[in-house]
Amino acid sequence: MKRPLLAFACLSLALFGAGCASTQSNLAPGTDLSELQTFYVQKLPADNRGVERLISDRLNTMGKESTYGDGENPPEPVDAKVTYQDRWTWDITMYMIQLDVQIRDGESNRVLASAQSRRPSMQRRSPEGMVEEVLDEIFSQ
Amino acid sequence: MPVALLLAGMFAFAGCSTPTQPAAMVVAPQAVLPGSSGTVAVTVSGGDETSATGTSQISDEDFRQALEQSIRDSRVFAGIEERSDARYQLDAHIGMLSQPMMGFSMTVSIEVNYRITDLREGTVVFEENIDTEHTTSAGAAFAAVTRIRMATEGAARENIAQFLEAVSAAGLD
Repeated sequence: MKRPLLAFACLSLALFGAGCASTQSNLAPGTDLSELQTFYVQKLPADNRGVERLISDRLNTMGKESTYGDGENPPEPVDAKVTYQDRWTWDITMYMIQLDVQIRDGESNRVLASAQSRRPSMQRRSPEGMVEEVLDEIFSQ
Repeated sequence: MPVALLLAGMFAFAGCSTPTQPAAMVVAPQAVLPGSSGTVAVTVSGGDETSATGTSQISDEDFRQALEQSIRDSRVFAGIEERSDARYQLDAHIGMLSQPMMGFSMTVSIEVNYRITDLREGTVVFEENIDTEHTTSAGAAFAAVTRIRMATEGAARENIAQFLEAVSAAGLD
């Protein structure tokens, strides 16, 4: 009886606990992110955890002007739109395992910069911490 | 012992990620599309290198090779040349590559911005964001990392195909 349980535990650990935290980012050629001052964070339809508000709040903390909403387009023109994809998984509790953020041109919708943070269970951070890490990664380019 | 065998087997079958292959991202030659009589220089940005512990990524060089070969096969431009000799400059920027973390059938989406500049006039004559996805079924390959690679290659191939159709329809000189 103990061996199947042990095997299941090992398998779960290998599947869900493996890997290291990683971040990666990209900047489109010729992009100067310091020129971007106004932002609109577009809520991901599937997101019911308020990640769009966390991103917008962090941008405001960084000295930018940011709003958020459900619509694809902001109510007023902005320098940049922000889109994101958050992924969650369960290990004792639910946690955000990966966050991808894209900074897009406010007019053309072209991706100007993007970053991703991936953190397995043992290195998990709060959603606020994930947002901070990804945005810092983007704006440090 | 069973636990050790189980783990050994799992790691043996799981395998490591391998980079996407340019040949798998080339659009299969179809009817020749109406195209420009000008030549084009191609640059690609936004790609990433694949690490053994991550998922298959698309490098700038691999996507450029696939894009150039697809352009040659479709003849939407008269040929590929260096920027100094080309009529047009095509800049492709891989803005987003979204891959699943686990699952049986794997769906990958990719967004690429294509911008073409007329080097004679110095003006942008074509710009489009193209977003495509591709699903690889559970039966396509045993290892998940292989299914993700195949889905990534498929999404990129479909993206290039849509670009070729769009640029052909744009009717560049």
